Amino acid sequence: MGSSQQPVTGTADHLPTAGIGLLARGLLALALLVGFYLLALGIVGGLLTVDVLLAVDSAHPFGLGGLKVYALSAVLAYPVLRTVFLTRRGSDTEPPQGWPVSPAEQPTLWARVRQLAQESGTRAPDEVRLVAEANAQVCEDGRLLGLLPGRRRMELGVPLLIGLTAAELDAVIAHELGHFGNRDTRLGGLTHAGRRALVHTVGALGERAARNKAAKAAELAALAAERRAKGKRVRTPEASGGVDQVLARIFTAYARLYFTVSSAVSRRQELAADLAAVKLAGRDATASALRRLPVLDSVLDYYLGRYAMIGWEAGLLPLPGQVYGGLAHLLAEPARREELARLELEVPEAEQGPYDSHPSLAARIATIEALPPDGRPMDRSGPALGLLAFPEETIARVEAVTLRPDSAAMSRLDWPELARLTGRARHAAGAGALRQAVGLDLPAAALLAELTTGPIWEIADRLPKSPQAGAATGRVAREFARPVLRTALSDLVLIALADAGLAGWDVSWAQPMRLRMPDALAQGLPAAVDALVTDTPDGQPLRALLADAGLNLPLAPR
Amino acid sequence: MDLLSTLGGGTGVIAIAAVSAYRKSRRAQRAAAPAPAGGVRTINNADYNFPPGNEIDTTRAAAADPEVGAVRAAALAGDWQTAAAYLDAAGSDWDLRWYRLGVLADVASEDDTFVKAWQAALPNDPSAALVHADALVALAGKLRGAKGAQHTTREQFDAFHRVLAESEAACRRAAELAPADPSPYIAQISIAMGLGWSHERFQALWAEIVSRAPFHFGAHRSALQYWCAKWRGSHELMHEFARQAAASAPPGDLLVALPLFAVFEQEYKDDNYEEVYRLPATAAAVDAAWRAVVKAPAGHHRLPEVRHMLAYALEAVGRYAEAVQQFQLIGPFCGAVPWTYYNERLRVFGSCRARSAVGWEDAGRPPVPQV
Repeated sequence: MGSSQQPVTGTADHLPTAGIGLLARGLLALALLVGFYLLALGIVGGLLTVDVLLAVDSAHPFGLGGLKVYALSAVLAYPVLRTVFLTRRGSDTEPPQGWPVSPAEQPTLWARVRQLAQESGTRAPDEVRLVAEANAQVCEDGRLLGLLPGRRRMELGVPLLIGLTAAELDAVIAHELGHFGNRDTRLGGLTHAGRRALVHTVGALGERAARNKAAKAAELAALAAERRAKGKRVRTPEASGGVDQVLARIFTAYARLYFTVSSAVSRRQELAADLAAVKLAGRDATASALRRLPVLDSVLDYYLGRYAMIGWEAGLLPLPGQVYGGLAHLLAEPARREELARLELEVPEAEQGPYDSHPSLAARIATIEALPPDGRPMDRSGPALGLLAFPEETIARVEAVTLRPDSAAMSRLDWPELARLTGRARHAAGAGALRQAVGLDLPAAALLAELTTGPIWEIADRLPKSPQAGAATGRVAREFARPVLRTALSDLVLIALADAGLAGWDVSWAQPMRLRMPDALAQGLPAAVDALVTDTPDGQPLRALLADAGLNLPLAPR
Repeated sequence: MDLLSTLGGGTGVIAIAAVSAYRKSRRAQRAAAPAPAGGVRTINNADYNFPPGNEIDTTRAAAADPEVGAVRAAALAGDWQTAAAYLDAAGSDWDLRWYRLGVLADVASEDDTFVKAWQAALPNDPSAALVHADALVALAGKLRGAKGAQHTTREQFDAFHRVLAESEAACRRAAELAPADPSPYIAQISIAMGLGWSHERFQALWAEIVSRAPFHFGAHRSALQYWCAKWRGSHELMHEFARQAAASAPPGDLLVALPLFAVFEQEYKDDNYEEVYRLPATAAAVDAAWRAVVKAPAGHHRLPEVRHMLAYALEAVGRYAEAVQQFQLIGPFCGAVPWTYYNERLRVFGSCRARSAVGWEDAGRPPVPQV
């Protein structure tokens, strides 16, 4: 059976009563799913009825008019039959994500989960997996349309372990256990199947419609081009998606109904799970976990983009365990902490639509914070990462199964080295292009010496060109070449300075990776490089500037 | 040269860019010559003193000016003295100076060796500064290319904007060196189009121009482009601008032909050949332009470009005798507006010329009226 996913970050409107019984919710989900197939059958059946009536009642059932009707109904029924009944929707169960941790490997984490399960009066999960996202979720492989319990799985995001306190993580775990307790996950399979069927059908019909439309548009364009070639005036009609577009609209309308009903149910479930968390972990820890989750999510994005994955294109990654684990450095940076604390106070009031399966986070937090104080002491628990044994190795395992496979072949470097080599890699292209254009395999400084004295525009002419630049002549060609040359020269200068230890790229947790060089050099470089790319190139300012900084360019070898 | 002559000197490269390849192909051409009653008729060019189609030069508006050829060659060879003398000989005939500036800027946008030598020899020479500035404007246009925005690369736009910014500074410097010369301001009209200057800013620029040269033909044609719907204006603003210019022009000045260019812009944009030429205002504008052209001194440097536009408009309003006469005077050339707006300029030119002849025949070959 399918699995339902109940992410903790999600959406709710009113205080939940959790009042609708399991059976009622099950029947509702089933009815909605059955309704979908009935709709599809209704369309096909209706068409068939028309055909049969026509064949029976008509004096000339196989006359031209009759045949036209049969053909039309076939055209209408085919896509429905095909997308709803005949297409395999792939396996219903996706392979679970992340790295599974056993009680033997992670006794403290498991003990905590079991303890909380016991306190909430529900059965503990059978499996705990660590995943890469700033998220947590649970699912249960319910049997017999969810009426019988099944294997329970809990996924915890490593960023939560890094970014939350132990008490906040308790709240997250308790929220997820709340879904088990409320038996939300039991019907997950059924709800999920319905959603999948609808999304698939609407998607497939929409795709067919788009394909039809594109083909039609191409045909019209070809026709228009032909008319144009003949010197006729052209008015291009709109292409439409045809039958599939109409069917897609019908099923989209049903999907709206479906999601409106099922979302109302799942919004209540979220609020019920929140209350379960408050009961176990306390009001304040639960509210603070909810406030921190979206911030953590965006910090994670930022961290991955600016730090962990910064050298990805150059094939460079942080050391094992640091790809996700490095987030802790960023969160520990005092300058960042201040900013994050401010962000946690501003919970975004996201627009809520009727189909959102979760109530808005702001609404959930408001609901929780409106509860009376529970007298629990302030959260003095340490980072949740303390629950993890061998954190570095464990996170490394999660990385190994969640990073793209091509990462396995990448170089793993400590942070300073990652910054240094990434910085160099970003400027390697220009330096490499110049080396090729000069035609001498020289170190950066020697190459630069050659360029400050040599026929630089002849060399620039051998740099890679766009088609437009390649077709240009005279001053136009020169103006296309100028920025290309300038960028390549700037790259080369930086590489030469880095080789000499006069510039480098530093990792800083307070600011993104940055170039470090003496101020005088940084200020003088743009003008010095500019002087070298004028129509009357002058390498002297650059040579003088570099010499002042301590880099004496060798005399050109010839 | 071709582009420049179509716009009447100075740099008009950017204005041409507006005639996107797309529109050119969409319009293909208005060979939609209404088929004459009685089916297709062929005319014998020789009967009308029309040069045959295969002899028509599609790249220029009129016979090459030997002086222009010599000056171009000298400039390309680095001889700045000849270039300087050519430009300065225009004196304070600002429109002639602008026209000649176009010749030099075109060369300098390809190879500015002679300008550099000129500036090295005479660092504060206003003419050298002017050629340098206008060449940058032309260069920017060439970097951008003449295609629509969707067919123009980031690299092209970047280079266009970079050089256009340089040209603006260069225009200001040229203006400082020659306070009476409108040319450094006229050169900025193309910058205004390229950078999308606001109407207020453009009007301030325009005030600088007309205070120095109120009836400058080249400036008016360039500014008409700014006021076009395809650039920063609209049909209404464009017609108003052209109407005012024509109304204020001294009697007999070729500037009275400006509304014809506006009418053509509208026709080209809207594809409404029939309607715009039926307006009484159009007929009056065509008549005024015709009178000015007939009386203009032979050899006036603006005569060829005006004659092309006039011939087209005369045919469109049904004044076939005059149209035939103008086509005869045009001779074997069609490298001018309106023909250059079309991919198949020769075909458009030929069919318009043929319609004039057919119309004239059908009217019983009336004589050209007296002015």
